[in-house]
Amino acid sequence: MSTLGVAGIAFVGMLALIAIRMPIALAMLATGSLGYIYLAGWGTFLNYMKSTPYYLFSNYTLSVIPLFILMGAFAERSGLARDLFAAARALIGHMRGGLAYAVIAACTVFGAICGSSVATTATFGRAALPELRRYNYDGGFATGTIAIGGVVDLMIPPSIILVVYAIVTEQNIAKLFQAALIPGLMAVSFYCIVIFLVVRFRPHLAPTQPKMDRPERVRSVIAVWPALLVILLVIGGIYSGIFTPTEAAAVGTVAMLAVGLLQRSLSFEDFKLSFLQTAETSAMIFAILLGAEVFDAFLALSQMPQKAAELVASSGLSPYGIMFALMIFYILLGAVMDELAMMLLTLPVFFPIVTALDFGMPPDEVGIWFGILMLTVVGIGLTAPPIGLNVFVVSSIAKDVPITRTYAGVLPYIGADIVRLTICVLFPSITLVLVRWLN
Amino acid sequence: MSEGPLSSDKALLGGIAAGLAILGGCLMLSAAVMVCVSVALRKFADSAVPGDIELVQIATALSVFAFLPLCQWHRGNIMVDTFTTWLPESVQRGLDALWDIVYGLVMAIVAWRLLVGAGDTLRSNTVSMILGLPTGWAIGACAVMGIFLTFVAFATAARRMRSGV
Amino acid sequence: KSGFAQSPQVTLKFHHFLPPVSNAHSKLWVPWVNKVQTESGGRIKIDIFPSMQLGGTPPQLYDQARDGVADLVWTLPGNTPGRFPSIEVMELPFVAAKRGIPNAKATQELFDTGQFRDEFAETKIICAWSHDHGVIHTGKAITKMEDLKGLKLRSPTRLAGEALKALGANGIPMPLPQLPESLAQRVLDGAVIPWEVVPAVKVQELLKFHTEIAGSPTLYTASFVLAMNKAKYESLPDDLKKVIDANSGQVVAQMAGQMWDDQAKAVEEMVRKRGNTVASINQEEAARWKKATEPVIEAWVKAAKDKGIDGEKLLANARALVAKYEKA
Ligand code: NA
Ligand code: NA
Repeated sequence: MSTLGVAGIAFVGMLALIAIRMPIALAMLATGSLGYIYLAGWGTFLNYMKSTPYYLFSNYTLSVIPLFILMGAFAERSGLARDLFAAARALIGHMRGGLAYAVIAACTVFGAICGSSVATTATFGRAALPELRRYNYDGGFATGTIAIGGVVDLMIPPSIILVVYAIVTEQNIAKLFQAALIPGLMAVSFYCIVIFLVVRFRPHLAPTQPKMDRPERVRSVIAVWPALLVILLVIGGIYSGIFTPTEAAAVGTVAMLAVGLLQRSLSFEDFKLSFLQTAETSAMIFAILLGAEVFDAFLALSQMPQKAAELVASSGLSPYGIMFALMIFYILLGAVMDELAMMLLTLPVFFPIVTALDFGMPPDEVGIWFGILMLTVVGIGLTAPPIGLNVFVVSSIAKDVPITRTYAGVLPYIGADIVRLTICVLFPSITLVLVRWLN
Repeated sequence: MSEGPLSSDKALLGGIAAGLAILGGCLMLSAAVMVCVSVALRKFADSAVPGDIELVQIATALSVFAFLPLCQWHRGNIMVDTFTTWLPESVQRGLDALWDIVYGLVMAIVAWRLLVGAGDTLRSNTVSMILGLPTGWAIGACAVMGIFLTFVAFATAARRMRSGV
Repeated sequence: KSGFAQSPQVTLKFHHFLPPVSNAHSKLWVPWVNKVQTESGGRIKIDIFPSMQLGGTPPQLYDQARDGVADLVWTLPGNTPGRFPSIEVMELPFVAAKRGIPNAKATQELFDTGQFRDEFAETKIICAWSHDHGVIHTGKAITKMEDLKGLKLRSPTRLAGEALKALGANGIPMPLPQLPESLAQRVLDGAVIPWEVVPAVKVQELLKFHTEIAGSPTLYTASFVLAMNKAKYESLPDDLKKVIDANSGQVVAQMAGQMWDDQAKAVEEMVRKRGNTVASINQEEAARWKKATEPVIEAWVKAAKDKGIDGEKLLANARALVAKYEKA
């Protein structure tokens, strides 16, 4: 059998195993291992595994993953997400659709201290959903907005997906974080436009609530100073050159902990639960990283990436045509697959292809631009049916809202994402202008 | 991913897994504090904690291996159940238990290979760049936690068959 | 594609850590591989896997060759400190020559004459070499030792770090991909690397001053090996072994040294054209630096003794060989 055939069979086999409930990390690890053994032999595989898991995990840049998760967990446990939502609500809650805007606003700020989209969805599912339901917001609109709040977190740096992209493709994390900012704020404004349109045409989805009195509003806003302080410290530290984005995760985590302890909002129990939560989420991510490492080594052995590149090169499509085709492929794949796994499995194939295409800019700018486009399709994948992780998470919290209603609720937001994606593909400079200006 | 209230399992393995995860968390947090000290020293004293980067690297690898058993204990490795909801509950359970066993076997291989790798690394005297810490011990510690992970995976398989969780 | 007389009889996996656009990949390894393939009449085929594509991380490369995970690897012995103490002799301060070819050839001859003991016995070493002089890249001009005081510089090897410390700077070891980020954030004040790798990490865009050391010997170099799996080599038929042998040792050292020297020239010119400052500390100042870094050598000799290595003799031999090839 040709090595290319082996790669094809492994891909199909992996998807089949995932469909029959095998954990994704295990499916990648198992099919990757079998493929590796088929191509290189059992003895070689055993030798390859001797220290690979250790060296894979003892990666300096990867250390930010547990730290960003821990920082988010401290923030959540010390009630920061709740405070942020309360402040946003106090300021804009009385507008029509105000609570939905408040979710997006709070997630934007929270996004600057949390790196995990799913964690943000879970956090605001607990912190904001009861309020939205109390004011008789439509179930699907409320859960859909919270699911998209996680995508806001994804788009606002720091973002674990972007860290992983940076490591796999050897791109500069600082530049990727800079590049994500404008598309991230674009996402925020597009979501606000969606809310505006939804509540305008279907006002019964979002009943208005009374305006708070001034002292109450002032109090709510003042309550969020710790969050703003940590954000200022982290962002200020990075831009003034006191520490790197990698170190920022450590500084932010310690600062968040300090705030929680000083405010006495973080109990010993909270502290423990933060660790346990961090352990589970990090382990899940790192298990997928290990699966992808082995699967990718197998893919390299099969020489499938090179063959795919030759195929694309001979396809006769224009670079932008290839990019659009890739984005459609990713949206379809993201609908049925875990996004982290999707990225880890396909980047070794597509990244070299994309950076070799002539978009009229240097390869590392293409690499950064492609990273932000990946981030956008990952966001779509996290919310799109049938398998959208953020929707699953919010559904597990809002048991009274059928999952189909939540999918209906996120659909308009996905529409906005596709518009944004198209704009970002057509105009790379939207993504790159800040990077060019800052460097 | 189970983010809900973490179960109050009193089972021994679960307790050890949770304890290990908390130790891993403490290690990661200590690494974070050490980085802060290093950043402060660099800013104000033109020096740094010697070997800060390699300490973070070792801490990350050890923490990840300390985190994995708890994740498995809560069967927290992300999976897709959308396509199997039509199957009888007993078949779903059986599949989950089967994959837990496969995971256990794969992790047994990982642990075994790490153990061999630890021996190799110790014999070749490989040490870290600045502090000269022997890398083999860190690999060996990961191997031991990998063995524990194997037991946890088998235990979760049994638990899934018996009580459905 | 090419008109090889025969279909490949053996296929070798060649694994290394740099991307395919790197100078080493395109200007050293691709030509070397083509040479071997052609001279074998197409019976040897070598697939290069750059950027650690076959998995693992750079410190694992040597073991991958030992264990047959890859058949050929290009790696730095310095990636696994403590494991190859003898070859460190070339990396000591003021031992290496300014040009790459003498360093490469001296390192290979030290290996050929058995002076690295059995440290590399687990693999078949195709070549051992060292690069040309390392250059100090900073944001400000360096004219004397005192200018280095307190500077945070990325150090390439353990010993270069020690040397920088002796000169008053802070040598901070750091993976190369981390370098641009750290320089852009001004976490580091500079880096100490040879010219060849400067464009790959865009140092010329981030730092405007490049300081060389007048004359030879120079501040430092770093050593490399191209290692092959032993069993794989032994399994080759005699005539194919001969092809590999003919493309081993000083032949490769010459190619490698030449590549580093050519790139040093090209990159230096490019950097000057950008308007950056390339300067050299003078001979007198270099003598001061040499004196200041002598304790590093003494400490190394002492540590070597504990490992049963006659450091003084090894050092004398290394210096003699560098001088010999420098004249050649
Ligand atoms: Na974020
Ligand atoms: Na999805």
